[in-house]
This record gives sequence, C-alpha cells and structure tokens, in this order.
Amino acid sequence: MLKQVWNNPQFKSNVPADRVGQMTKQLKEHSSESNNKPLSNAQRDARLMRAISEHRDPNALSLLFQSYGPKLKGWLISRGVDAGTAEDVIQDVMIRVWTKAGKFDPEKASFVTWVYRLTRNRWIDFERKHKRVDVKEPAVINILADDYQPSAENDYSSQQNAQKLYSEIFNLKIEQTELINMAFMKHMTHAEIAKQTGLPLGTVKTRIRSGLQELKKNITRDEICL
Amino acid sequence: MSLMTFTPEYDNLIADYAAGYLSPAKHMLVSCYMEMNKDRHAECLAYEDVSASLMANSTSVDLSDDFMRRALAALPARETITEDENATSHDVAAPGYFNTLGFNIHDTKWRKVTPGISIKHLMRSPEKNGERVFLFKLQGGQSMPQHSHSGQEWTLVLSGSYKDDGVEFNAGDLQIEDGSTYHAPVIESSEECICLALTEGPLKIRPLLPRMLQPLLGL
Repeated sequence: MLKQVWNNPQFKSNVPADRVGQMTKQLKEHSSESNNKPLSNAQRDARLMRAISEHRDPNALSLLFQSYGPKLKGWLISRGVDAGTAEDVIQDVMIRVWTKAGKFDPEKASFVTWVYRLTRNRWIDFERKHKRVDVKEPAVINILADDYQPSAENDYSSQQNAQKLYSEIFNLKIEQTELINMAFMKHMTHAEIAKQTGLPLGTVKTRIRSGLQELKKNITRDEICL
Repeated sequence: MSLMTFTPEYDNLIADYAAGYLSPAKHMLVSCYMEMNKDRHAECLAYEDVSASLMANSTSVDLSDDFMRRALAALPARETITEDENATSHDVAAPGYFNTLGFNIHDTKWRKVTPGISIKHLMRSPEKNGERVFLFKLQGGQSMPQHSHSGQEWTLVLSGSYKDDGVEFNAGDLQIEDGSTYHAPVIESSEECICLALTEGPLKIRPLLPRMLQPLLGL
C-alpha cells in the first residue's frame, strides 16, 4: 500500500475520466467568468462550496463527496472503522457540510483540511457514543460536533493546496517521509515505529519532528481566485 | 508561559490531536490547552494540513452504490437550515469564558465538597478504569488530599496557580502524571485555582477522611 502511495506523488483523482468531463461541465456552470485555465482542486472545491452556501445546490455537494467520500472512507477504515459505520460518519459529515457551508472560509482553510477536521471530530464523537461516555455538561461536546476551533481568532497559516503540501511531504528526505506516513496514516506510535524500523526511539522522534518542522516552514498560503 | 510535564508517550501530543488519535476526553482537554496556548494551536493547524493532505492522497475505498442517493435524500430541507445556531448568550470575551467548555468558569454551578474544594463533573466513562473529566476549584492556601492514580492524571490550569513537588503550574500549563507517585498539589497564593482535570479510573487517596468522602465526590 505504501509503495502505491509513494509512487504517485501527484494527486490522483479517483473519479473516472468520463465523470471528470461531466464535473468540469458542471463546474463551468458554477463559475462566474468563463476562462479556459484549469482549476486547481482548491479552487474547484471553493467554488462548489460557494454553490452550496449561496444556492443550496445538491449537485455541488454530490461532486465534492464523489471526489472526497472514498478518501474519507479509506481514512476511516484505516482507523479500524467498519465500512457501514464509515459511511454513516461520512453521511453525517455531508449533512454538516450542507448546513455549515456558510461557515467555510477558503481564506482560512482548504476544503480538504476543513472536511478532514469535520470527519475526524465526527469519528471521535462516534467513539464517545459507542463507549457511552456520559456528558454532564452538553456544551463540552460542541468541540466534537462541528468544525470547532480552539482559538477562532488565530491567524491561520493553513495550507490551501493539498497537492502541493503532499508533494512537499515527498520532497522531504525519504526516511522522514516514511516515518511521517507511519505516524499520521498508519496510526503507529513512535515506539511501534521504532520497533518496526529497528531505529532507536530517539531517532524516530527526531526525524518526525524535524520533518514536520520542515513542512511547517514550507507551508505558504496560496491565493485562491474565486 | 506554557509548561508541559509529560510522560514520554505524550511528547507528541499536538500531532496526535491533529491526527485524531486521542480519546474523546483527551481530545477535549487538549483543545482547551490550545485555546490557552495559541502558538500550539498554530502548530496544530499545520499538522492538520499534513493529516488532511495524506488523507486526500491515500487509498480510496469506494462508497456503496446507493450511498449518494441515500445521503442526498437525507439532507435537511433548505428552509430549515439556520446559519447562526451557534449564537451564544455568553460573553465570550469575559475572563473565565472557554470556547471548549461553552461556559464561564466564574459563572457556573459548582458542587462544594469541603469548605475549600468545589468540583464540577463534565464527562464520565462507564468503565471502571475509564476516563473522567471534571473541573476543580481550590481556595487559596488549600491543598489537594495526597493522592495517586489508577492510571494517568492530566491537569490543565485554567486560572490561578498551584505548586506540586517544587514545580509551579500557572494558567495554561498542563501536567500529566502517571499512577506511580503520590502527590499533593498546593495552592500557595491567596488566589483560588481552577483546573480542568482528567483521570483514568478512580484516584487513590491516602488520608482517611477524604478517602471516606470519595464515593460521595465521585472522583
């Protein structure tokens, strides 16, 4: 599985080619000006989100989730979630995107990060319900129910472009890329990574930390033209 | 300002939060920690971008054939959607208000358990060694009964300060202790100290009187 990911540093859409054509056609309908420049994924997502918030266009929602739904499902399944539950979580996220589209601000976060955060939080809330954790103070679960941010006034340094960041992850030293992938995607603790790779624990920690520092340094904001 | 004393497995706390590896209770407590430590929140946003980017480029699993039809059919009607449902009656700028808690710690109902100690339960897992999250408030000059833990104890100072084993913890500081030591945090100043705490399983309280009270306190 790793190889498959690593050999494709460029973003690969899982949408079949004929769907892409259809999507592009529909996107043009959402676009206020017609130019022939190809849209970046971030621009496409931002336009679709605007179609939802301004026109309540279910087609736009459907396009977003045809694109990201299978990715979110893969992410949830890699967490040990069964397929049925994963789709329940995604459906819940879809409803959130539908009703909260007005709160999405492409200046502050990319759609990918926004929908990732929603999915992560819904999954943690699903775990809370599953473990029957009793909540005495209803307000405290708001953080799990929404795209909650601990400090709303924080000056976001959020990366707008998931593909660019992704290629930056692959521009790190190979050993850093490998360890970051294990830590963030394979749900492995530093101790487990050390065991599997045979590296000393301190080396694992240092490589992951320096890799993340490097990425943070390179994260820049892209302008999104709407 | 921020002090973290961690057990070794938690030196990666912010990245673990971003990747979604923390339990619901720990996720909530770390969220509150970042609300008080904006630089750590900025760090978290970068990690969330990394996590999201890896998610967007990882292996897809096809949705069921009828997923989209079902999901679109389940959407709430346009006219029922209200955008400002999060409007709150709280003064969010007032000192003591926490986004993560959704209320002001200086303006909420407490349960007085001794003349100097009050608590407020927030979350509780039904399992014997499950996580409990609660607020506690100690008057100036008070000390917690000497105690240890069945599992970990996380303490985030929301206001005031306390001293534990010679180390001072101030607002925004997070202390993570495992179950290996007995300790008795002390409020040295005259100002009250309010903390958000998370424990795994019941506390092991040493002095007899508080131990007898323990079932009543639910700690």
